[in-house]
Amino acid sequence: MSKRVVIIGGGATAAAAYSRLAQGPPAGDLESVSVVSPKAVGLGQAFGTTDPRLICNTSADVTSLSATGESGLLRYLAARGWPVSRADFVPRYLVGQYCRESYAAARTRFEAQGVRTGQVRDWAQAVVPDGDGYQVELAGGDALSATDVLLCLGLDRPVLPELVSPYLGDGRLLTDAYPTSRLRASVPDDAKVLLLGTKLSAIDAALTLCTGSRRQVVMTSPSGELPAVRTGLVRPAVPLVDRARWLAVDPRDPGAGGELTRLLVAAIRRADPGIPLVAQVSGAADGQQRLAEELVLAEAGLVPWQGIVAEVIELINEWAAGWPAEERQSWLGRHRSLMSRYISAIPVRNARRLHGHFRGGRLALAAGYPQGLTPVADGWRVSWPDGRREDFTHVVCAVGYAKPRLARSASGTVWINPVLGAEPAVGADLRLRTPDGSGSERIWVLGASAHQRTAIVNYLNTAARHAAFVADQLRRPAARIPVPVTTATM
Amino acid sequence: MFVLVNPVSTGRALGEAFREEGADTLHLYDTTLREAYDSDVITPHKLLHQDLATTVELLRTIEPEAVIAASEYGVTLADELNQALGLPHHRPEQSAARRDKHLMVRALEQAGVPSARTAAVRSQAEFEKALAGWDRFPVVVKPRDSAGSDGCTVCYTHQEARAAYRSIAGRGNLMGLVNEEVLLQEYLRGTQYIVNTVSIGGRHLLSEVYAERIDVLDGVPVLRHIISRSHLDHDEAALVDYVFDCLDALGIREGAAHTEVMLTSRGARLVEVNSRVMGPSLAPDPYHAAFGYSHQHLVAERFLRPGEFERRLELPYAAGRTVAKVFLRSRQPGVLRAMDGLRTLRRLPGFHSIDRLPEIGLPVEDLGLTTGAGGLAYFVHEDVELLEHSLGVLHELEDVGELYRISGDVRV
Repeated sequence: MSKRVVIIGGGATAAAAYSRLAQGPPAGDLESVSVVSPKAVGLGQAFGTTDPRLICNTSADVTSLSATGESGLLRYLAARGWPVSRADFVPRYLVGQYCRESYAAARTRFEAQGVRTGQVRDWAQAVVPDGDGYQVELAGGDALSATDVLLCLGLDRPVLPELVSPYLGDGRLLTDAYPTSRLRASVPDDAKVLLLGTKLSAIDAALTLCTGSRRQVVMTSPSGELPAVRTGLVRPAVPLVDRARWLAVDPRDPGAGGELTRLLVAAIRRADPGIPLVAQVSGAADGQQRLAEELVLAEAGLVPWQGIVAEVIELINEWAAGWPAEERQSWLGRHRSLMSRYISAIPVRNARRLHGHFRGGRLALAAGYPQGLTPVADGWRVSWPDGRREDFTHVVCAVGYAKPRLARSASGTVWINPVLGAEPAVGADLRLRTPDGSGSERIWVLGASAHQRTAIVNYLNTAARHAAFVADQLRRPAARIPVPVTTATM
Repeated sequence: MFVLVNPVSTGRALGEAFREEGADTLHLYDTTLREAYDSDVITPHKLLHQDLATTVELLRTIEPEAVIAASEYGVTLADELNQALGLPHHRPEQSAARRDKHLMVRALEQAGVPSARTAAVRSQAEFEKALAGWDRFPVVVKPRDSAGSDGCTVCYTHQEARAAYRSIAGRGNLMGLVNEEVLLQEYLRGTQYIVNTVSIGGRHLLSEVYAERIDVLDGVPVLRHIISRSHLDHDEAALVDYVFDCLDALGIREGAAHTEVMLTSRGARLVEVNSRVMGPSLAPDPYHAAFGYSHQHLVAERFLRPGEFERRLELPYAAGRTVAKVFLRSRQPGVLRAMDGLRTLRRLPGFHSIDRLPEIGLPVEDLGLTTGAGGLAYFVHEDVELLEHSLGVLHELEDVGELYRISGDVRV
C-alpha cells in the first residue's frame, strides 16, 4: 500500500515536516505529499513577516528546520553572504525565506524521486475517516484522499482579553500586533495608545508604534512583568543540566519545586561558576528599572543563566510529554511567570530599543491592569485600579495567540479549530488516539498542534524535533500502517 | 538604415539593441533635445531635426527601412516622418490620439472600446463646471500632456480636486511643456497592469505583462514596483485582448507599444497607450533572464528579422521566471548620506542587479515619480511568492527609512 501524505498548514512547522520527509533515501512506498495552505508555504504567521525590524527571539542556532547538528538557518545565511553567528537573533523574514527555500528544495527532491507533490491553496476544515485512510475536507468544497495526515497548524488566532470583547469591530481597537505595517498605517502618528500585553508580541508592537513617531504608548498586563534580557539562546557544547535527576522528579511530589530549583542553580553554576545567580538578574520591583538593570547585565556578558535555556526547554518537553494534559497545563500555569520571563526572554537589541523608548518618555509600563474600558468620543477611557481615569485614542491587543484546537465528532471526524467539542487524545508518538483509546490514528500533530503533548511549542526547534520524529515513523513500510506506534522516542 | 527618433531615456537601450545586431542606425533629435544630440557619441550617424521638409529630404537620400519613435518625445515626429516618407507605420489619422490622453479616450469611445470617464478643461471655470457634474469620488486630476505620474493626484473631495487643479494648471511638466489643459478622470479601482507589445502589419505580439504595485502616499499614487506575470489567468487574458482592441482603436500597426491598463471589477479600462518601448529603464539582462528577450530586442528583431519575429505570433505567452523592477525611494527628502540598506537589498532572494542609483552627497529627487531617479533594482526568480516576499521586505526597508540614509534622519 502506498502512502499519500497530506500536510495541513503552511508555516515553519509544515516546512520542517515536508523537508524532513524529503531527506534521506527515497521511501519506496511514498506516492504523494500535498500541503494544504491558503498562503505561500514556509511564509507563515511568525516568519512570513516582511518587516525588517522584527527579529527572532531565539538565536540562529536553535531557529532551524533541523533539530540537531549544525543549524540549517546558519548554513543558509552563510551561503547568502550574511555575517552571522550561532547566537545572533536574525530578522524574522530571513527565517521565512529560509523555510521557503527549504520547502522549494525539498519539492525538487520529491519530484526527482517521482513522488507527486504540490500545494493545495485552501483551508482544511476536517479530517474524515474513509476506509483505510482519510478524506481531508477543504473550505472550498473539495476533498483530498490521504493515508497519513500531518496537522501542522500554527499560532495565528490572536487571544482577545475580556476587556475588549464588547468592542470588536471598533476601528480604534486593533486586535493583533501583526502585520506591523498595519499597526503603523492604522494608528496615527500623534495617537495615545493603550497596549494590552507586556510579552513578546506586545514588545514588537511597542517598538513598532514608538519608533520614528510621536505616539505615546502605555503597556499593561495582569502581571506587569517584562521578559528578561539575553544575548543568545544556543545549545551548550556539553550538557549543563543533570538530565537523569530532572526526569526522575515527580511533579506531584511537594518537594519537586525545590529539587528543580537546585538542578537549575547547579546548571547555571556549571555554565559560569564565577558569577552568582543573584548577580545575574535584577531584583527591582519596578518593571522599567528591572529592564534597565538586566540590560546592563546582558550587555556586560553577566547572564550565564541563558546558557541553560535551550537544554531546559528540551528537558521540560521530554519530562512532561507523558503526563495527562490537565496535569501539564496545571504545572505550566503555576510556573508561567518564570517560563515567560526567562524561556521567552528578549534579545538585547530589542531590550535596548525598549529601554530607549521608556527613557525618551514615549513608552510607559502601567502599574496595574485596567479595571474598565469604555469607548468615548475621541477614543477610550480607562479606569485604573488606583481610581484614576485616563483617555487613549487607540487600544492595541498583543497578549499572544490561541493554540490550535481539534475536536472529534461521534463519527470519528476530526474538526480543525472548531468552537466546541472534546479534544482527541494524543499519544506519545504524536498520533491522535482512536476514539476508544485502543490504538492510534494515522493523524499526527506537530509544532503548536501538539500542545496537548508538548509543553513548549512556540519554538522552532520543538517543531523540528516533531518533524524528525514523525518523518521517522512515516518511513516505516506501509504494511505496518494499521499498527499503532507506541515505543518511539524523541 | 533605421532612424531612431529622439533616442533618449529607454531609446538609448533600443539603439543598443539595434547596434548589437550590426544594424546601421541614424539618431535623429529635435532641437528641444540639443543637449542629448551634442552628447551622443555612440552613433556615427546623427542628425538634428530643424524642420520636416529638410529632414524628409535628407532621409530620402538614405532610404531608411523604418523610422522608429525611440522615446515619448519622438512619437509625433516619427509619425510625421513615416507618413511623409510613405513607410509602413501607424495609422496617421490617429496620430494625435496616440499622444493626447483625452483624444485617446475619445478614440476608444468611437471604436466602442470601454474607457474611463474623462473631462478635459482649460480654465478654472471649465474645471468647476466639470467638477459640479461629477458624482463619484475619488477623482484623478492630472495634466493632459505629461508622462509618468507627474502632477497626478487622487482627490477625495471637491476641495482636494480644486487644490490639485491649481497646483498643476499653467505650470511646467515633466515633458518640458506647460500644462494648458488638465484632465478630470474617473478613479479606477483595481490592479494596474502594464502590457508591452510589438506589432507587425497590424498584428500584435504580446511581449510582457506586468502587475504594478501602486501605493497612494500623501494623496499621490507612487509606483513601487512592477512584477511580470509568467502565466495569465482568465481575467488577465481578457485584459490583453482589451489592450489589443485599444491598439487597433489607436491605429497602432508597427513596432513597440507600452500600455497601462487597470483591471477593475467592470473589466479592463485603459490608463494610457504609449507607442514606444517601456520606460524609464530597460537594462536588458533581467528581462532576458525571465523571458529570454527584452522589449527592445523584440523590436529590433521585428525590423531586422521579421520572419523570425512572425513565428512568435503563433506561440503561447509564457516565461520561465518572474522579473520585478523596483523603483527605489527615499522615505523623505534631503541630502543622501549613505545607502547602507543596499547590503540587505542585495542579499534578498531573487536580487539580480541595480540599474542606477542616486548620488551620495546630493539631494534625493523625485520621491513620487516614475523616472527612476531614486534608483532601480531588478529581481528575477522562479518562485514568484518568494520574490514577492523579497519585494515586501525591500519596501518596508524603504518605508522605515533604512534603505537610504538622509541628512537629519535620526535612526532609533
